[in-house]
Amino acid sequence: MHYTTTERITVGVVYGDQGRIRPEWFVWEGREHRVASINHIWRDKVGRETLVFFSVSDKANTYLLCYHTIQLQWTLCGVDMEG
Amino acid sequence: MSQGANARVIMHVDMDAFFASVEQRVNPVLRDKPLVVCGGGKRTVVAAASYEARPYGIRSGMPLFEAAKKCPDLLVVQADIPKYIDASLRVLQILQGFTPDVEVYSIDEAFLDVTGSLALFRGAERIARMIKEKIKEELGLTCSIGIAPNKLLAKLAGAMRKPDGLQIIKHEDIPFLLEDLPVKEMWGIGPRLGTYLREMGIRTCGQLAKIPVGILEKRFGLIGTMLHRMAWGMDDAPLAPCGTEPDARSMGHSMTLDQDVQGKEEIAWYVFLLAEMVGRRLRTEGYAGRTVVLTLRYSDFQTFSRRVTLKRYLTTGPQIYELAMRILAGIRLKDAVRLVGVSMTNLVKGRVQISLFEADRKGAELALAMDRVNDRYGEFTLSWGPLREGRKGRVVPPTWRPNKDALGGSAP
Repeated sequence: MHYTTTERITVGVVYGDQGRIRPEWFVWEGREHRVASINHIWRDKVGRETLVFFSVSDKANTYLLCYHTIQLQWTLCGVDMEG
Repeated sequence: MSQGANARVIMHVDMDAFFASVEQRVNPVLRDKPLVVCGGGKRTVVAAASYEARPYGIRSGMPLFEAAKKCPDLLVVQADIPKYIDASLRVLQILQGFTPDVEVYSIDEAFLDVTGSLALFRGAERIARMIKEKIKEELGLTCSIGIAPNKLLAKLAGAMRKPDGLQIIKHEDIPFLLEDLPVKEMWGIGPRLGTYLREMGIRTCGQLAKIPVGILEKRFGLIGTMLHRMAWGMDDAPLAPCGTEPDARSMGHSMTLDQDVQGKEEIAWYVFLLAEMVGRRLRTEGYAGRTVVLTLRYSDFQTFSRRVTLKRYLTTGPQIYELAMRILAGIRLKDAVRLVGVSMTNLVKGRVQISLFEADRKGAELALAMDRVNDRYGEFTLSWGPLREGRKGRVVPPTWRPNKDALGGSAP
């Protein structure tokens, strides 16, 4: 089941070399979700702002996280739930 | 590959089921399942079909309802163009790591001239394997690669082993390979040309090669010469490396409507939207045009275009709209319309013509002011009242090429 949303969320991030970022966990609906795998990363531009999208999975579901590079905010854009 | 000192080594890289494969990377639930990527409209067609969907007879360009009939378990994903552009740019960066001579043929295809890189990377086949490995490692995607002495044969080779294939056509293989190859499999021979050739009793490249060039030229003109060369596997076409592509000759957008439209008032809204999109693209890429082309398709798929050419150059949506509407006013609609297209030809680049008329000058200034807002906050942040619904979806025009900004970026 696919669920689309735009919710501001808290994300724990590791900043690596060459400016690479990697979400490790995020809080959604009062629960911490550990990122088990990053499936795909892509960028888009809305005006001057670059948005970096991360498709990530925890043990059960797949989530679409978005990092707003000017606002320095994270949003949850979608959830694909198993079953 | 063994051939003369001046021989080129050309590679054709074709991403496998590109849009569908990207979607399967993004969402693991979609992997190993029949999947199509489509536009957003109600009457959309399949933009890409996963390899799992293909055994059902599902192909690109097929209406979605038809695809769904062929495979009841078909998964449908709406196209998300930024995802594919980003993946395409990352593939391009990988390719440019092997040679600067990379021609972006489309969002999912490129030609490489690796002649100058052979010594450095120890052979064409090794380059191809390294490219495949890097694309798989960095993006999780597969591609098919054809290697040959020219673009024509490299493209043919690439199509011979899909998906995830690697095919080399050597000089000495060409006559044998082409002898029984159906002409319709040759890049550049479309259904219409294929039909003409069939009417002449020509079905294979071997048969085509035996026809004297004079006969082909008499029948097809310049295309006859081209056909003769193709039949012998000859192609001198140079690569147009990224950033050296010739200036655009036309720019346009078209839209299949959610339902057929009868009235000109309703068509006018689409014309305005498309004119605004064309104007924005012209200004963004530094062009101006003086011929406006309006294309309409009736519900029975009969398609026609009408054009108007001015002496002055246009760059703004309202100017283009006004002319397109003048064309529309002169058309007596015979049927409901299912597709509307607006394009500009007779383009010049980098030329700003200051109009003598104040209204035009103000219109151009207004467009530039609107551009500044939209550059900053995103497309259609500021637009005309009637267009407040904005664009209904993004498409990749066949002429898509990476722009300078995109090439400068790096993956997160």
